[in-house]
Amino acid sequence: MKKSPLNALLRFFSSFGLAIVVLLFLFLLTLLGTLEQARVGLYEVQDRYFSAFFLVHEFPNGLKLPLPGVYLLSVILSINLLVGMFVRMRPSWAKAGIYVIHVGILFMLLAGLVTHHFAIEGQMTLAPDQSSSRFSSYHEWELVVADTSTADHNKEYVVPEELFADLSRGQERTIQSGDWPFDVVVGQYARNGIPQPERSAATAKRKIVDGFFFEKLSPEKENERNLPGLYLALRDKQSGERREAILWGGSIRLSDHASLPLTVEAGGKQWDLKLQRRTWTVPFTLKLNRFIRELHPGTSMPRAFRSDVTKIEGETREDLTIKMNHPLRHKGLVFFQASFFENPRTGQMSSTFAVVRNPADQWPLVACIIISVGLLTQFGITLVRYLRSERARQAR
Amino acid sequence: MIIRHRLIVIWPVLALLGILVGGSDAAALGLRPHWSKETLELASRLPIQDGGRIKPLSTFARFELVKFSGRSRLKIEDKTRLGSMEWLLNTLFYPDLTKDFKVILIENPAVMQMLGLPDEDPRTRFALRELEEVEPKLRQLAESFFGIPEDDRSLEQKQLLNLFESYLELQSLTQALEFAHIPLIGEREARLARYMPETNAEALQAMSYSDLVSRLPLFTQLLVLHGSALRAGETMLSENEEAMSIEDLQTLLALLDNIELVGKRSVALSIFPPGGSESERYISAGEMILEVVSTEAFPQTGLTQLALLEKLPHQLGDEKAFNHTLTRLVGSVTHAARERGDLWGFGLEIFFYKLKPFHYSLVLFILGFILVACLWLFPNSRWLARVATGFIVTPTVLLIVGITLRCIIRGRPPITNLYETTLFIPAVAIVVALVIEWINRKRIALGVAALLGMAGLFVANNYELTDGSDTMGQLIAVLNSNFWLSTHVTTINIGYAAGFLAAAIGHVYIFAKLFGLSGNREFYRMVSRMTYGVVCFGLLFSLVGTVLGGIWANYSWGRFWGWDPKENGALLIVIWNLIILHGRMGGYLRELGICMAAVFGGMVVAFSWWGVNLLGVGLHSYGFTSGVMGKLTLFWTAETLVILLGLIVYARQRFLARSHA
Repeated sequence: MKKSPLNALLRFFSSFGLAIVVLLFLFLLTLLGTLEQARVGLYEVQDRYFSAFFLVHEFPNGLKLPLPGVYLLSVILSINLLVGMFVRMRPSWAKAGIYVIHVGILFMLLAGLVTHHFAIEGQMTLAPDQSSSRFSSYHEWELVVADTSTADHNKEYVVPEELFADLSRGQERTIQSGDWPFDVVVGQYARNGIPQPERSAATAKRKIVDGFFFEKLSPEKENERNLPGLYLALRDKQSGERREAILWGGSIRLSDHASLPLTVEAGGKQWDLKLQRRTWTVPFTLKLNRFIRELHPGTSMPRAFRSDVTKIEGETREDLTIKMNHPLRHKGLVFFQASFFENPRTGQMSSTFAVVRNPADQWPLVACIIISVGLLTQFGITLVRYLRSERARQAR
Repeated sequence: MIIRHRLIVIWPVLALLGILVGGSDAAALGLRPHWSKETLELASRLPIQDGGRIKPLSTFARFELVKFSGRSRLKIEDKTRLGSMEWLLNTLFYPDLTKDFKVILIENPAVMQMLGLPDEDPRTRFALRELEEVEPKLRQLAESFFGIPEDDRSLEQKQLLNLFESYLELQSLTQALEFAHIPLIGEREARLARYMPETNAEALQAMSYSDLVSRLPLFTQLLVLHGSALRAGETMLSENEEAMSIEDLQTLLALLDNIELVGKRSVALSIFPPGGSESERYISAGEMILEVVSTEAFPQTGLTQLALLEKLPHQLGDEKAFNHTLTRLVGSVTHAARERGDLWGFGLEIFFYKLKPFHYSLVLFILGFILVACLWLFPNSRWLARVATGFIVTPTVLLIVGITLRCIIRGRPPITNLYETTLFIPAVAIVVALVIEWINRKRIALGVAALLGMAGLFVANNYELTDGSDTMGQLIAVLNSNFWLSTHVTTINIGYAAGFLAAAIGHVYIFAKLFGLSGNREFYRMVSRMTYGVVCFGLLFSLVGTVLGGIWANYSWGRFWGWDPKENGALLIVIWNLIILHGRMGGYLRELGICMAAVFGGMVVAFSWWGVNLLGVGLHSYGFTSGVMGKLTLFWTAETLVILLGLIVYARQRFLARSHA
């Protein structure tokens, strides 16, 4: 290979040294991320360590260490693998297995990338005889402005979380639509909190709306439990009149003004505004017939969870069972038996399904087969060679 | 008024009974009751439902004792040891005597202090009677700790709650046969006979608990009839029926309540198979009452069995009669259980625990290791080589037989819980080591096999005793899948086994170099190659196992990878093996480097196997393992020292090379 800057670059990116450094960092991050989970919870760690480009790890003694994130490391590792396969490896049958393994690993990393960027994940909870064709996110929220006076009652404008999640205290952003008789001014978003009556705290510096302020709380370890809130003002397009409100993701009815959803009349129409978990619609309807929890006899230890459901798609109805380790796959969506809820008053059992749409759903399986084949080939070749040399040695 | 009357009646009776039974026990039997082999054997075969499955009474006894005391045999005052079955029979039949056995283990002196127990050394065993004296305090503390969310409870609080649970359970065992003793029909109750057309006072007085239970609906009818007659006037009664006096009505009410109260105390042994096919729940003597009341159809077989059980405590002086009744009881219950198809693997389980394959395997591995050590001293002795090999192959076979028996008994793949990994991992490591030995015949892998066998089975024994729960227990819903248990779980644990084997062979290299055990360069090259080979083998299984785990997760939770601690632990092993592989290819790791890295790999496997369970987060933390932390830290410290020794070896090599140059 000639000494040119390009070749030097290729050599660097295909080197064993780079592979080892990246693997060592991956090792360290996986270890730190695992230990950190006990403290801050899985969601936070995923966000800060595993989906990140860079991060600063803080040790218990206060020492801070800047580190590359797993996302960045995966990218470098993929480049290393690709370039290495083309530049370093001399094609030979003896190394056929190694090629196959590396193709498999690359494919798996690709599956990870696709999952990370394109998969959506949420849940659908159904009480017996209830049906739904919508599921909602565990982690993402959205602001919904709904025109409830239309015929189908269902004209919704969705403002995604990204448009207001970065607004801290004192910041505001105006969101406009030609269809609305008002502009929506959002501000002071908090990931977790609760509306509190004015009198319940020293409220000198807090913004009070209708006798309430929004108290920010520190985030829960389990992100699903966080209930966000924001301050919002509706500015009438014609009169310029401002109407203030607090929107909250929780469901305690506080007063007529801060209730959920916020209902206003403007431009001769009825409008509902609410902060809800991001919601997706699926192209069919699922109805829960019954949820069954089987226990091992004489214990409180679950033996099986099962939901009998009916899948309704236009005119066709199909009775199906979703149970542990046996999800329902249909139209790119997968429904898993995730949990259940027993109404303490009625004893009625609701069932919760985890719903996932992932274009790379089955890719890891393919990758696993490729890698297994590669590993078996390669170690088979090596073992045969070793046995031969050993026999030769013993013969000597 | 009636209610108070009813409750008061029972307690003096129970107290008196305690004195009577306790007194007669000790007097009649001298120091300690003796159980013949025949009786023990018979009783072992009684099916009992516990932890959601049907098991032999001997298995139940074993794990109850282990749970309470951390031992499978009980040391009592006169320095003799009781087997678990003898202990259980004593507890059931001589409760007053056994209340003085030091059974319940308290590990933490802080818990003893909380209860005001005499401050003793850690890991002291207390008698039930001692705990009964501090019961109010124990109960009060347990109730207050129970209100604290599980995650926020301190170690002492958790330990106290466990203690309370053990206390109640042991107490309940001592009460299991109480129903057979309590005289429910006195003179006053016998007066009720006159309202019952088909009986008289003598017959009523002679009735046992099971007779009364079987007549429960009659008593209830009587109560309803006369109760309403009292209210509505006597018109409800036919001419020849006498109206019941208020006093007798109260007696009847009290009797019904007493039967129920006695029943409630005798719920420890769920040995009576359900009659119909709808229920899977075996019931105890106490629950039989509910069964009679709720079904109204008499569970005839159940009542016959109850009568037999009730007879047993009265035949303690006559072994022949006792065994005869016991045979009938075991026969009847076994028959009913077999009809239901509940006895799969039952006989084999009794055989398995009698065989004690892992116990003997451990002993043989220790002997085997000593023999291999001798073989290193006398490498030319052929017969020694044969004997040593035999002493390692035999326990290996025994270990595999044991694991296979467990699989057949449960109809499951070899690993379903943490305990079973402690059997499977050494078994795989040893088999791989023996295959290596078979290929290269260097007697290194042979020694490593013996060492791993010893260490592994020691951990297994220890874990069984600390965990204190049935190691063949039922599985929670998500694990209830033989397909994934046999693919993912098995492969990942083969990967663990390889990690430990590679680490063990790595030790051989480091120590041999350190102490200059061999001057032969070829020897070191070969040991390092062995280590590397096992690392590759480990990578194969760890990688495939980890990916399979992801695929399983994708089937049951909808995500392939979630950065869950157990997943991360597996990933760490994979990454570390990859580092060793590429380090060797890139020329960063040579012979010594590979061996040192493999030793570190052993530490990584230990983290994945035990460490992540201690983090207490994640979907995978199914194994409760307090107290493991100390042992794990010890292991990590020792292994770090070995790596440091490796560094010394490295420094010496460099120094020698330089001084040669």
